[in-house]
Amino acid sequence: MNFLIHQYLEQHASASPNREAVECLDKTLSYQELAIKSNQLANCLIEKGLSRGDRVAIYMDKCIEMSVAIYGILKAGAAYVPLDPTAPKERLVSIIHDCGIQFVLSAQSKAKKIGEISRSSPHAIQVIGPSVDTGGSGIIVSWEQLFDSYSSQAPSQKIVESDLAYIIYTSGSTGIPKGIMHTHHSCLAYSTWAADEYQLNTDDRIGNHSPLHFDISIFDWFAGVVAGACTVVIPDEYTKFPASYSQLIADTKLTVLFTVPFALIQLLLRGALEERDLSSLRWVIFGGEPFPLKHLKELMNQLDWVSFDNMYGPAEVNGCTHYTLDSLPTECQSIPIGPINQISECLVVDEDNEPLGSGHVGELLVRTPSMMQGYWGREDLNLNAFFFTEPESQCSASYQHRYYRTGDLVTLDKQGTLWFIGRKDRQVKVRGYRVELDEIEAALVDFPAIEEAAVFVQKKDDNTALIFASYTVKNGQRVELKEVNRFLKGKLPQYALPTNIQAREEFPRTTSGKIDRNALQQEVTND
Amino acid sequence: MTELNQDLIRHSILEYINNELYEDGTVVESDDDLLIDIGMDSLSLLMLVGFIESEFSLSISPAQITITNFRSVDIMSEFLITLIKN
Repeated sequence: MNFLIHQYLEQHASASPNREAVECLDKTLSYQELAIKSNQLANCLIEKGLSRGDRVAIYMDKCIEMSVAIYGILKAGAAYVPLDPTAPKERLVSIIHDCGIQFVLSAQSKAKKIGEISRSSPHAIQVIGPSVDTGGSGIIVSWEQLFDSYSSQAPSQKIVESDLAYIIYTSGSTGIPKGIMHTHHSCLAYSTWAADEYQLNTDDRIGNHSPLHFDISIFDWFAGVVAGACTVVIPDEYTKFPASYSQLIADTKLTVLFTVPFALIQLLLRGALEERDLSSLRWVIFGGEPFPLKHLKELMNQLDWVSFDNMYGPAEVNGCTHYTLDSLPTECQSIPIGPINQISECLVVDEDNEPLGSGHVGELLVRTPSMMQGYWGREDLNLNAFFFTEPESQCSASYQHRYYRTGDLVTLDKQGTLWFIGRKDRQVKVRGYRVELDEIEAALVDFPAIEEAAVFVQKKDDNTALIFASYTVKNGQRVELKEVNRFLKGKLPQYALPTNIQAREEFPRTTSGKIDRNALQQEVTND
Repeated sequence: MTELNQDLIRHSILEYINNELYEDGTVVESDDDLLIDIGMDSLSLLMLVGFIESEFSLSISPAQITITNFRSVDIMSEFLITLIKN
C-alpha cells in the first residue's frame, strides 16, 4: 500500500524497470526512464526555489514530456495545475494569478504564447521546457539542458498524503474559473478503486484521450500507474479525426479507453471501425454526459467483445458511481449512472436536505474519500459546496463529516441504482466539458455596447451540443458581430464559445419580465 | 459551369473558413496547419467537411477524413482534386 502517487511509479521502476510506462506516437518512456527524468525535474524545481505546497502549471499540448512534468512536480512536493492549451491568454493569466503560480512547465510549440502570458502576468513566472526564448518569456532551462545536467537521484522532499497533488480549474457561473483541489489521498482513493474495479494490470495499455485539464485524465494517468500499466497518450489532432483515431487505437493495441460519448459517437459514425483490428480493446468506459442509446447500441454491436461501462462523478469527487452494461439496453430510454461505488456513500435529498425515498427526484449528495479538499481560495464556494453532517465548527477537513452537493438531480430505485434526471442549475455539458451558461451570458454582457444576453443549448441527433447566444444592444450603439466573436474568444475556453450568435431588437419575456429562454429555444427548433 | 480546379477549391474553402467558420477576424492562410497553428476544434472540422461535401457535391468516406488529408487547406485541396478526378 502506497500513500503517495509517485510511490507507485518508484515501485514499478524498481520491480520492472524496462516495462513501458508511457507512449506517445514514436516516443516511449520505461518506468525507470520516467522515474529518472521526473527526479531530474524535481531536483531542478527545488534548486530554482520551489517549496513544498507550491503550485506549478503544466502548459503544453499532449506529449511524452507531460508525464515527466506530472511526476516531477509531485516528487518536488508541489501540486500540478494543468492549463488548457487552447484557452485565451486572459483566462490563463487569471488562473496563474489566482493560485500564485511561479513555475510553468511548457514546450517549444507554446514558446510564443507563454511569452505573451509572462508579459501579462502580474508577477514574474519562471518557465521550464522550451529551448528557444521568443522574447521575454522567462525561460530558465530547456528540457534538454535539464536532462543533461540535473541529478537523477530521488529528491528528499517531505511529502504526506494530505498534501495537494493537483488543482483542476473549471467554469464558474460568475465568469471566474474555480480551482478544484485534490490531495494525494483523494487521488489515490479513486485511482486504487478504479484499478481494482476494472482489473487493470501490467499488460494494459490505457488510452489517454482527455487533456490534462479534464478530470478523466486522472484515470488514464493514475489508475494506470497504480496497476503498472502503460498510458498511451493520444495527441489532440487524432481526437479530431475519427478515422486517424481508430487507426491509432488499432496500431497501439489499446486495451482500455475512457472518454466522453461525443468522441465515441464520432468514432462510430466516422471512424471506419469495421476496417480496423480493435481486438485488443477490452474496456470502453464513458462519462461526462449521457450517451444516446441509439448510438450506444450500435457501438456495442460493432464492438461486441468489449465491456462497456458508464462512470459518473463530477471533478470534485472523481468517479463515484458506475454501471457496467452486461447486455444491450432494451426497454429503457436511458442508462443508469449506476449504484454508488464501494468506497463512497450517497444521499438523495429534497430542497430542505431531507433524504428522499426511492423513486423521488432529488439532489445527489456524495461522501467519499476521493472527494476534493475544496475550491482553492474560495471559502464562499466551499460553504455551499458541502452538506455537513455535524455542525460545521465541529467538522474536521476529513471527508467523513461532509457530503459534496453535486447539483445533479437523480432518482434512486429500489435496487439502489441511480438515474440521472438533469441539473438544478444552468450548467450543461458540451463534448463532456462542464459549461456554465451564466458564464457565457456574463462574458457577453461585459462587451461594452451589449445591453442583455441570453444563451441556451440545442442538441443535434448525434448528441453534439450547440451553444446559441443572442443579445440586444444599448440605445444608439452599433455592434459588429465580428467584434463580439473576437471579444468572446478572448474570454472563454474554446468549448464554451457559442456556435451561433445573433443580435435581436428585443427578447421575448415571461409574465414576470424575465427573458423567456424557452421561447428563444423554440424559435431555433422551429427554424 | 466553371470546371473545378485545385485553385478554385482552395479559394472556396479559405473563403468559408475565414468568413463563416471564424467570424472573429482570424485569418487562415492556405498553408497554415489547421490543427497546430489555428487550433481548429472537432466541431469546426465537422462543419468544414459538411461544407466541402455540399459545395462540391462530393461524398467523402469516413476513412478518407484523416490528419494526412486535412492538415492544411493546401493539402486538403490537393486531396479533393484527386478524389474528384478519380
